[in-house]
Amino acid sequence: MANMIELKKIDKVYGEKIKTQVLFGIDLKFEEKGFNSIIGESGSGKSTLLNIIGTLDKPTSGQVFIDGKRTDTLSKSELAVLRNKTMGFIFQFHYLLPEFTAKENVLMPYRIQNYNITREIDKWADELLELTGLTKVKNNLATDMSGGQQQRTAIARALINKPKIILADEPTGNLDSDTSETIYSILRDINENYKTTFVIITHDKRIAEKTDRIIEIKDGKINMDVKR
Amino acid sequence: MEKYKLEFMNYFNNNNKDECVNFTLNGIINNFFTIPQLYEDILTPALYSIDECPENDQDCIWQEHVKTSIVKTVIECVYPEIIKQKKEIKQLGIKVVLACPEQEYHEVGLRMISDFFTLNGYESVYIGSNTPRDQVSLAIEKETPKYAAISVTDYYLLFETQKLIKEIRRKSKDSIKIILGGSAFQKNMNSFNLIGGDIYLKSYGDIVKLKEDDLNEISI
Ligand SMILES: Nc1ncnc2c1ncn2[C@@H]1O[C@H](COP(=O)(O)OP(=O)(O)OP(=O)(O)O)[C@@H](O)[C@H]1O
Ligand SMILES: [Mg+2]
Repeated sequence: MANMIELKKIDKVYGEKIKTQVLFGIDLKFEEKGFNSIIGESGSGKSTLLNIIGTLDKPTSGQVFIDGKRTDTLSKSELAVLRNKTMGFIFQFHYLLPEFTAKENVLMPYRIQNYNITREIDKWADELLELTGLTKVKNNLATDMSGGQQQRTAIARALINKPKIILADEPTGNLDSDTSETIYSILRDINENYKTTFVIITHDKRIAEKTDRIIEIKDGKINMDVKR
Repeated sequence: MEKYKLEFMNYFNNNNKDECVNFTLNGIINNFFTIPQLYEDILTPALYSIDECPENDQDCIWQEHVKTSIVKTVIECVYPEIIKQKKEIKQLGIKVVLACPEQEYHEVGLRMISDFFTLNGYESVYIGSNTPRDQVSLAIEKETPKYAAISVTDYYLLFETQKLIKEIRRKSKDSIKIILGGSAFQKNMNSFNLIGGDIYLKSYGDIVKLKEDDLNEISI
């Protein structure tokens, strides 16, 4: 199967004067349609790695290939287009825009690139809101929703551009276990229905054990990499 | 063997526990098959036949539990025969402690391995499923086995297994050999050494070979 994401010899060093290396020679490939998780102790380098995969951060050395495209030779604006089209992001804290409704937030990544909301995209937003169980609150302001609803809004938002890849950094980190379970099933459904590739950082063992591949990061290196 | 397997499967597929047991005991007593043949060629394929639950089959999970229970009953019913055979086998004076890591509830494979060791003259100390790290360590301290055999089915428990082995080695000062087996390794053999395994076991034949090695060691 084709590789959706490929990392070659990624090093990451933070700091100018005092340098701390947090990633050491990471080689990693993720296949198309894969449902993967990354686990590891706090401070091991998981978020750093995910931000590099998402081209939100640059490695100190090494290369990132997304859907076969080398990313370090792209300009800032080319990178922004690639990111917006190919990748959806879900963070532990969802960064919804408070002055907009759930639906407007969901449509935001589309609006960034397109002036008009077409009828199709409007319908797709409604479908996503339905899928994430938010139809009843879709016209609520982001601030007028529960934590779990806000998180689900962020998931719907990550999907609006039908990205090939979804990168999630502790998507269930601040949720109770039943809500986590619901979020997990939504992600799994998306993976199956839209063949989206997932990389999910999680501390939640019950989430990790449901993914098809678990990668453990330890002190900035890959410790274990196991498959179902 | 195929004939016996088909007959067993016929009872097994109908959840007919009584006939599964009758058929097995009859087969063992009349030497239609040996215990290793029973475990490897009849019971293991039977277990694998219920391994995967399709998502649309709601009844699959409880059915799987019923069938696992049948296999467990069959295995326990064979034990008197193992006692009998043990008397005719030269004892090696080597102990094996057998356990599954915490949260691993698939113990049937390990239970079979336990009998295989017994049939080869080892002394099996079978602990079983879902055993916390400290309990495995305590058992090893008390029993001082040459081998600890650990079986892992769910691949995500490989992380727990790595911790378990670290704990065992810390307590037993590396003198112990770790035997690993179970379907978690099928796609993850690359992690075998990393997890801390010394020996990989997957069949009765592997235990027969291990015994030969142990006999050579003893005679030197
Ligand atoms: N901008 C930064 N400047 C300097 N050091 C940083 C920066 N961001 C992260 N680090 C350091 O890099 C290391 C890895 O951080 P990272 O956020 O990737 O860890 P993590 O595995 O995601 O941890 P957690 O599970 O707590 O989220 C940590 O030691 C952290 O202090
Ligand atoms: Mg992090």
